[in-house]
Amino acid sequence: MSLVKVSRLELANAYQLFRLKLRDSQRGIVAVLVFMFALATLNAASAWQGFASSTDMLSSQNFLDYSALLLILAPAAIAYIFWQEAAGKNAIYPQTSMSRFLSTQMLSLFFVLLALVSVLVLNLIVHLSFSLISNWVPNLIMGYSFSPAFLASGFVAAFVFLLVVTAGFAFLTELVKAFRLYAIVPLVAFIIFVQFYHLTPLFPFDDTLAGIHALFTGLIWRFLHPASLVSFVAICLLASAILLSLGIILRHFNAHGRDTNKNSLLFTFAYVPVIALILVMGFDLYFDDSLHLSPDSAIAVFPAEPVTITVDAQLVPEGSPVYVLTQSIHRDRMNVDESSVVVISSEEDVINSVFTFSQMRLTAFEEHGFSPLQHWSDIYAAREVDELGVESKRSAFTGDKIVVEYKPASFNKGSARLQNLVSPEISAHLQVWAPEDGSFAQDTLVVQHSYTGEGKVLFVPIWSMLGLIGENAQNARPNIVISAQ
Amino acid sequence: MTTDLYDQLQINVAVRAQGLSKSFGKKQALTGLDFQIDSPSITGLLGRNGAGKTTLLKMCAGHIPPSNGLLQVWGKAPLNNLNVLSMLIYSTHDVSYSQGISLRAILNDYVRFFPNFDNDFATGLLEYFDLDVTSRYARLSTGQKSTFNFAAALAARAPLTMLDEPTLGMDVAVRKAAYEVLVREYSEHPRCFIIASHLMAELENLLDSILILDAGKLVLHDSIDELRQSAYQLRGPAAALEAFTAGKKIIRVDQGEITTTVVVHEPAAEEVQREAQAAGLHVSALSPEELYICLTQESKGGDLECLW
Repeated sequence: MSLVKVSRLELANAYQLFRLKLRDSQRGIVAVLVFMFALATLNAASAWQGFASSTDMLSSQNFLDYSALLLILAPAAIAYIFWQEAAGKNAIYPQTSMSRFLSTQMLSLFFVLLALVSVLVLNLIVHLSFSLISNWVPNLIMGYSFSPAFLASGFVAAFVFLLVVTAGFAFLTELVKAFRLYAIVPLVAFIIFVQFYHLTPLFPFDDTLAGIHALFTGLIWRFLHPASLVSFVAICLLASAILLSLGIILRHFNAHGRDTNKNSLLFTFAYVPVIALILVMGFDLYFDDSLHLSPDSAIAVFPAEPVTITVDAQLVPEGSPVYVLTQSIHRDRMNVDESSVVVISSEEDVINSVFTFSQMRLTAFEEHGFSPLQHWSDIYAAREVDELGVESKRSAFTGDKIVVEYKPASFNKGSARLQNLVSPEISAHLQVWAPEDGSFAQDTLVVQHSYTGEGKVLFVPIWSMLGLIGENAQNARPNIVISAQ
Repeated sequence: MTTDLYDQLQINVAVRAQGLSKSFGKKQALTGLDFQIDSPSITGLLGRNGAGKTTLLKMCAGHIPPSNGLLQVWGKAPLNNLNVLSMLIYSTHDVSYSQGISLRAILNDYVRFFPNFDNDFATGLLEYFDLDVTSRYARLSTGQKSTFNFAAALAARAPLTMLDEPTLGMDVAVRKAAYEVLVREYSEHPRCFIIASHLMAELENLLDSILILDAGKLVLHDSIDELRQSAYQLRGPAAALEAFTAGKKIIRVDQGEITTTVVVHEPAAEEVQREAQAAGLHVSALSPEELYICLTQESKGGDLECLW
C-alpha cells in the first residue's frame, strides 16, 4: 500500500496549482509586507520621539518584535490557504487529491519562508539604519548586535514551529473532510477548554478538571520550554511528521472531490477556534517583554565587565574571623535583590569557602522611601554580615590577601538590561582591630561598590521565541566575589 | 500528450456508467444509472431542478466520487486520474476563479492546464462575444460570465467537454450566437460534448442524443431522431381513447371537457396511425420538448388551482 505515490505528472500539476495559488495570494502577501514595513516606520518614529523626550542619563527604547507578530499572522494566513482549497477555488483545472494537497503544502511552505525572510530583512534594515544614525548621534547604542549565528538559530526555530502549524492545519483539514461535524464538535470543545485554561484567572477550574489541567499544562510546558534549540527542532519535526502522516493516512482512506462548497463553512467552524487559540497564545508571546530580551546570544555583546581589587590581608591574624561590610549605591531601578556578595576564602589556591548574602532590598527601599516614580535616585544599601566562613563552619581565616571582584547587578530600565552601560566602581579596605584582651581580632572588610553610566539604547528584538527555549531563558547573575588567597 | 493518448487508444466511448449511484448522506441523488456516451457526439443532459444532472457531470469530471457502481471516462475511473482529467473539461456558468482576476489571466491559466487550449481562438471568441480580455471576471454580469466560461471551455478543446447550464443568464441573441459557435466548433473539431440544460427547445437541433434524468433516475437515453419517433399524441373522445390505448404505454393524460389528450410513449407506426384515425382519433407527432415535459412532469408539486 503506497500512501504517498506521486507521479511526475502529478508533481508537475501540483507545481502549476502552486503557481496559481501563489498568484492568488499575492495581494494578501503584499498587504502583510506593507503592513509590517509601515509598522517598522511607525516604530522608528516612536523610538526617536522617545529618545528626544527622555531626560534620563540612561534611557532605552524597544522596537516591536516583528517575528513575534509573524507568529500570530502566519498561522492565520496558512489557515486561509487551506480554507481556499476547501472552498473549491479553481476547481475547473485538472487536479488530483494528491496534487492539490502538495500544492497547498508548497504554498504554505513558500509563505512561511517568505515571511521569515521578510522578518530578517526588516530587522536588517532597521538595525543598519539606526547603526548608521548612531555614527552621528552620540550615546546612541544598538542594544542587540546583528549576530548571524543568533539570527540563523531563530530562523530555524521559527521555521520548524511554523512547520508544525502547517502540518497541524493539513491534519485538521483532512480530519474535517473525513469526519465533518463529528470531528469539529470535539475539536471545538477541546479548544474552548484550552481557551478557558488560558484564561484561568477568569474561569477557575473545578477540581474534577484538575487532572486534565495538570496533564495539559505539562504537555504545553514540555513543548514550549524544551531544553535546547536542538531538542526544540527535534520536537517540532517529530510533531510535524506525525501530523502530516496522520493527514496523509486520512486522505488516503477518504476519497474526496474538489467541489466542496459546503465544506468552506465547515472549515470556517473548524479553523476559527484554532486561529483564536493561536492568537491568544501568540499575543502572550508578543507582549511578554521578558521573552523579547532574554536570549543569551542577544545580550552576549554586553558582558558585565567585573572589576577586581586585591586587599592586603597580611595583618589579619591567622585563624581569626573577618567581618564583611558592604556599602552600595544603587541607582534608579537597579535590581538590588540581585546583588550578592560572595566571600571566598581559599587555602593553597583551592576555594573552600563561599558565603553569600543578598537580602538588602527591603532595608534599602524602606530606609529611602523608594517609589517607582522616583528616577535616578541614589539608594544606599549597607549591611554588616557575619564573619567570613561561618556557613562553611570555617571561621578561621587563612591567607595573606583578599580578592574582591565586583560585577554590577543587572540594571533594568523598563524591561531592558543596561548593565553594559554602567561603569562599575569599587573600593575596599580592611579595618584591623586587635583587642587588648588577646581574644580573636574583629577584622572588618569594608567594600563600597557603585556605578556610573550614560547612554540611549535601542533594542531591536527578533526571534523572541528563542527566549522560551532552555538555557536561553537564563539570565547572567551579577555578583561580587570576594576571595581570600 | 493527452491528445496522442486519445488518438492512440482510439477510444470512442467517452463515458460509461453501470449501476451508478450517488448519495449525500440520506439523500439519494442518483440511482442505478446505466448508459454509454460515444464520441464524437453532442449529448444533451436534461432534467428538472434537482434531477441529478450536475451531480452526474461532477462525477464524470472527477470532482466527487460515486457512491456505488461503475463510472468510466475514456475507459478509466476519473477520480484522481490526471491522465483522464486532462482529457476533459467541466465548465459551469459560474466557475469559481481567483478574486479580482482578469479574463486574460484566466486564459493564461487555461493554457497551462489544458494541453489543447487554443488561446488565439479563445481571444477571438471573446472578441466575437464583445468581452474585453482586460475585464475583471468578478465584475462581469451573470450572462457575461456564462459567455466567458462557454468560450474558454470550447477553446480548451478537451476531448470530453461538459457544459453545465452554459447559457444561463445569456440574452437571446448571445444564446443563438453561442449555439452557432458550438455547432461550427463541433464540425471543425469533432469531440464529445455533454450539455446539461433546461432549454430543450433551443438544444434539440444541436443534439445527437439526449439523456433525461428525473429524480436521480435515467428515464430516457436515445438519439434525437429516435426520440422524435418514440412517442405520439392522440386526441379524441375519452371512451374511444381508452379503448384504443389499452395495453399501450401512456405517459400523460389531459382530461378536457370535450376531448381528452393522451401521450403514448411508443413509436407511431403507420399502421397504428391508420387504426387511430379509423377510431376517430387525431394523431400528431410530439416534439422532443413536449416529450421531455411528459417524462419529467410526474414529480411536480400539488395542484396549482388549489392556490387560489
